Amino acid sequence: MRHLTYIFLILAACSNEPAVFFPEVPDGFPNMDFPEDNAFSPSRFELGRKLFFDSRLSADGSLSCATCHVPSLAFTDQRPLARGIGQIEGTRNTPTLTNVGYKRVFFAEGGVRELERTINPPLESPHEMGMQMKNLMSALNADDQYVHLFSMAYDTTPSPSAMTHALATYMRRIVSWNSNFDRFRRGELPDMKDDSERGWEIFQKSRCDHCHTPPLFSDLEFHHIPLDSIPTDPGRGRLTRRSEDMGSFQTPTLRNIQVTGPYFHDGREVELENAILHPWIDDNGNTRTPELPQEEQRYLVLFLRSLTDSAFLNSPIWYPLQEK
Amino acid sequence: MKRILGIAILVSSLLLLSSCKDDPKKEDPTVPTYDLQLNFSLQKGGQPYTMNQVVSFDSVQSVRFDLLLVYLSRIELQRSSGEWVEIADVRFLDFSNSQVTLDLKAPTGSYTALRMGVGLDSTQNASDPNSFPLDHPLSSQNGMYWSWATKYRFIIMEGRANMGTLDPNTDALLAWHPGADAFYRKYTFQNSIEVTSGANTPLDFTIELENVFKGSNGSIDFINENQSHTEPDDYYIAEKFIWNFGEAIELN
Repeated sequence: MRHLTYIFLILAACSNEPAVFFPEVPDGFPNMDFPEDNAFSPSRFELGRKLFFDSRLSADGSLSCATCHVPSLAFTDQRPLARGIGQIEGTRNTPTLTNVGYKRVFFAEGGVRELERTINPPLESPHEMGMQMKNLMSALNADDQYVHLFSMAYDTTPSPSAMTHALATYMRRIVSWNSNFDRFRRGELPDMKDDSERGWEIFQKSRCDHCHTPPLFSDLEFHHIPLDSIPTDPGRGRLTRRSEDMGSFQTPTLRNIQVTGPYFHDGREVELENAILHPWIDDNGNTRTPELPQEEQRYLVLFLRSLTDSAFLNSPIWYPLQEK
Repeated sequence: MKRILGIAILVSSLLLLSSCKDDPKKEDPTVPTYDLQLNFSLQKGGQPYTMNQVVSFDSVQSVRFDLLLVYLSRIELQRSSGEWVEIADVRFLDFSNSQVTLDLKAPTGSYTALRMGVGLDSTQNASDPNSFPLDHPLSSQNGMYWSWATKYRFIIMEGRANMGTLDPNTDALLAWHPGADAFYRKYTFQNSIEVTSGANTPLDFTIELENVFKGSNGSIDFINENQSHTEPDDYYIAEKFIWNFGEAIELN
């Protein structure tokens, strides 16, 4: 077990709750990088958590971050496409925030390189939360509790920078590494139930792990899945304008995939059993279709379900005191 | 070892000298500065244009612009010695009132030219909008930030048009949002400019809309090129729009 050095022994302000610290990183997982100006602290997490659940972050007060990123659904919403204020339907499926702090680039295009800078898009987009930063800052500065929390966390009054840093701190804490698969690998379980161990073998034999690479079950790279003959969403190509990037998306993690459907960037596939049968493009540019006997498909799905981290999904630490 | 060190020092010195050649000098705080006023107004066919005014462009009978937001950056004056002096890093122009005045300060002296970039240079374009106060031009409050790409729109121009040939009862949306590092260009305006004590030196610029839509970088088709968000399939529209826009700015 490796230990992160910048945590422990502070109690959260303004509540009787025990402070939330960054957990020890289990063997087999990489350490997470924190920006120099945004090391983890319980007070920053607490501020971020309160913001995450505050519907005042949306223009009409109807949505918080947690409306679409529901903790018990691995921070997704089970809708094919996300919905913004006024029930405006977006164009993409809400991505899970599971282990989001490990990503190197963010969003479907990969155009954002810091987690702190992922807040503005949903916050300010008229298709999502539609919030004016000026109005939000006025509201936060008029709230004594927020003024106190910002002061504790960042020694400042509420500001756009401190707000985005606090939300990023909350999101970095969204780590999932205690699924049955993890516990089995660490020797904490004698076996993987329901034949999911056979599914793990099939997962490797079928080279799923080539892109869905453990322990994150994502290689964090962009790949083209030929869902349509002509991509309806340019994905990374929107940013790079390269033809080879058209329709490419960052490999999503498979952790907690049991609760993160519907699947793919546009939520087109409802059932996990069908999602595993979509074609992919191999290293030589050839389209490959899974050719798995039905029995192996069943084992594969059982394995994917073993990546569900129940403690993570049911943890009370994601919720502010009044939300529990 | 000494030889390598010597070469390294020589190369560093040459690089330093060459990089200084065209770099504008920042204002010297000890030199008094005086007022320089840059006035921007819109024209259509040589006549003043007021926002929301309905005008025609060739076969498109009714065009109405209702939003024009522009970044100008690295505004510089040139001394007769050829040296450039930067007098503003970035300014945000909102044409809601059809004209914009920028009140700047410049060191006293005689200048031969003014130069400015339309849009943001690559350093400014990579800024984090949350790092600025809300009244700063680069704050996200101005709605110019493209957060999904961590870049800014350089210009937002929007309006409505009645295309005539399509559906006479329905106005079509016009929206040009160019923004990319590759779009950034500086434009130089040769003019004798005197900045003196006690005087407010005005410089009057016009933006001729005819030239924005029929410029040297190509015409913009109101019917088929009525929108661009600098996406892969409309990038070329954004490119010719912003370069036409830069060339449409004239110093009177």
